[in-house]
Amino acid sequence: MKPVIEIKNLHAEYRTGKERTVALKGITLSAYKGEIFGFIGPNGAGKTTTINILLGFMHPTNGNAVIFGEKSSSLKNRFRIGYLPEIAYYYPYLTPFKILTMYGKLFRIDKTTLNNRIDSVLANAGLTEEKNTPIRNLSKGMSQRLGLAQAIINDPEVLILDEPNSGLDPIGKREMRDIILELKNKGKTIFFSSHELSEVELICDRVGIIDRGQILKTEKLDQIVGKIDTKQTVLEDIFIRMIKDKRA
Amino acid sequence: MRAAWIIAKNVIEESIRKKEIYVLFILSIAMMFIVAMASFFSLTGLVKYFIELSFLIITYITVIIAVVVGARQLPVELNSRTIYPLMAKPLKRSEFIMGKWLGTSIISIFCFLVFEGIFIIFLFSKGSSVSGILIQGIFLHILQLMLISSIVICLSAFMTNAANVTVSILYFILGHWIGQAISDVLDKCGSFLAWILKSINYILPHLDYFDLSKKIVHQWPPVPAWVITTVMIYAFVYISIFLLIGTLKFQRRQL
Amino acid sequence: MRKKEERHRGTEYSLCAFAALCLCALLLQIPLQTYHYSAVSSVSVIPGGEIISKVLGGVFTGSADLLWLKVDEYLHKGVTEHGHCHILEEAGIGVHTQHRHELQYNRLDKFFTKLEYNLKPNIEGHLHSKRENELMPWFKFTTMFNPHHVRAYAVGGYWLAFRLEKPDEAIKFMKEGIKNNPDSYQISEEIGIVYFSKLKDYKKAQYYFEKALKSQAKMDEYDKAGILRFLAFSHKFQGHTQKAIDCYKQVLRLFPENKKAKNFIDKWERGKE
Repeated sequence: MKPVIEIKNLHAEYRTGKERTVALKGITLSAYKGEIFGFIGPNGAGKTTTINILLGFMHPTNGNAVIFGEKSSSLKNRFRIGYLPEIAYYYPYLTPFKILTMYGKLFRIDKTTLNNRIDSVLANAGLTEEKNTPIRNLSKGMSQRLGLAQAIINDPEVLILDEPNSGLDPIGKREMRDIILELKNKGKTIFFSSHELSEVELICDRVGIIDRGQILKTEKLDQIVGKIDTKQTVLEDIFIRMIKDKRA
Repeated sequence: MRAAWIIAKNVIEESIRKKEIYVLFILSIAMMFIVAMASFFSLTGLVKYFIELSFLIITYITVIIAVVVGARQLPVELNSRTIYPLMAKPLKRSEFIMGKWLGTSIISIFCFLVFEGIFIIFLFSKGSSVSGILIQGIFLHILQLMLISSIVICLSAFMTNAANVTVSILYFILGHWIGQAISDVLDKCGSFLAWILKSINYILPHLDYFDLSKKIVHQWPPVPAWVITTVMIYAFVYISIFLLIGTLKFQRRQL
Repeated sequence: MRKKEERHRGTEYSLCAFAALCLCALLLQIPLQTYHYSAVSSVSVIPGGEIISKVLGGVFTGSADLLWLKVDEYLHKGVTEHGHCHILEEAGIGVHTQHRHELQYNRLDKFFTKLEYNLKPNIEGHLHSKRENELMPWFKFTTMFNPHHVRAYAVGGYWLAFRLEKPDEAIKFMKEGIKNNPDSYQISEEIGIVYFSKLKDYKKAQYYFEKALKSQAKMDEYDKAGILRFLAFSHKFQGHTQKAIDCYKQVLRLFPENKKAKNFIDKWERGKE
């Protein structure tokens, strides 16, 4: 099966004046249609850099990133991708309805379809009552849910989520998990980065572990975790052990 | 173009919600009123000074609006991170820049037309009327606002908000004097320096080409159509150049 | 790190812009005369105030000079001569100087020169009769920015009295000038001329001509002779013939070969007999 997201030997670096920071040192991974791919790693590992390259926010210094067989920064791809940023703010003077209308128009969705879809995604995100509330008056959790709503406004085939549970309470996390699983059931491919290994363990099909710009492992979740009957969060143990071994 | 227009609408909506435009609006109306009501030596029928000062007020205020609105577009989007969900949409970076320019131009032109409307009311109250040269002057100033908006948007890809405002306003002031200053010193320098000065003269846009205020004040007849057409082409060439430079810089930028 | 880099760049650009602004302010001062702005000099009592008053004074007086040039521009329907002021010539002061040289090197230069020619007022015209009132706001603005701009008061007074037929307004304006410049002989002389020529009030005219002569300001012989001539006639029209003769004798002391002075002295001395 051909992967939906394919990253091959990706290198990336940041330059600030004369200083050069290597963020990615030749990473390779793939995500397939209909799967949930969890991308985990410690802070500064290169997760957000990888996502930024997938979305065309930055250019790699070497290697390539491809989505649907096209260069990841291609405009054609963006019609089929939804993105939830880790920390995102939306124009505070707009309302959820207006911001979704604005984004929907960028996807060239016709007016009737767009209005119906806005009602649907707001209902999914539990923001129907806050439809006309200025975004500056929404709580952090509501903003995060709005983030998900705008990520799925175009009914994308691929969802790229950067820390989707950021700022959510346990109920919010549960709802987010349910939405992600529902999207998976609809055949969407979900690529998300997270620190919350318990959440990753619950929903992911495959996992990629990154540290200091290098992929340590890309594997099916049950092959990493194994069939060990224990109450401990086994993925967390394995993750920490892997990082420590690599750094030793 | 559709995507650019969506971005432009957002710029306009954001600007309308900011208080600074209303403050500048009230300030300029107040200044025009004071100028209109001023009395000099019990003389009647004084119109020229009013036209000159009002035009000066309107010109500077609308340029300040264009600069202030335009300069904050890119830096604020980046700092507030509103750019990330936006750029993940099918929106080219060139459309983003174009949209920001369009929004900035529209808001400054709208303010200019409102001020001009009030100015014309004052003009009628002083017994004067709208002349052909005034219409031409209004058109050229609209072109100037579009050009300045493009300069500001281009610079916003290189500089912070504060630096951009400073440089843009400085250029607006100096841009009216380039031609005269260079031609004054040209025959006093050596050939190499003269070549450099002439290059600067041709590279930098002359903002005095968009200023018909002297002819308006002194009630000259309208300028020939070829002059307006030439200035219009001149404006659009420079607008394209600045937007292109801004787009190229923004395209290379890591978000 | 990016924010720090941006802040650093922003600081650099702002400093460059500020330096460029100071350079422009300095260059602006070069073609303009500087005056001492007494209202601002009160600032100099505070430490460092001298610098502040010079900077602020420079801005105000520089602006006043630009406004003064506006008077000339208005007189000539927007056409300005580079570094020259026609308005003084119109009022009988100053001499016409050469025109600005247009530089044309090649076709492109010629094209843009033609473009500029059409965009700016290009053929000198003159305001006439009632339209000359349009000059007056600029006289007022000049004196508002620099109350020590003696020429603005003197020439403005002349224009009000003799061109716009408003001698009372002229006197009011010039009296304000005297208040700000008590030692100015030019303004006193001009007030005297208005009283003499327009209002036929020879007593007041005499008062102002004598005031002008008492001025400590540096006065050249021609100006002094001019004032003495007017004073002479002021005395004559009041019936004080001897005083009139004495004035013309002072003129003769300045210009011994002046035939007109000799003729008036002879005529008035014969008239006395």
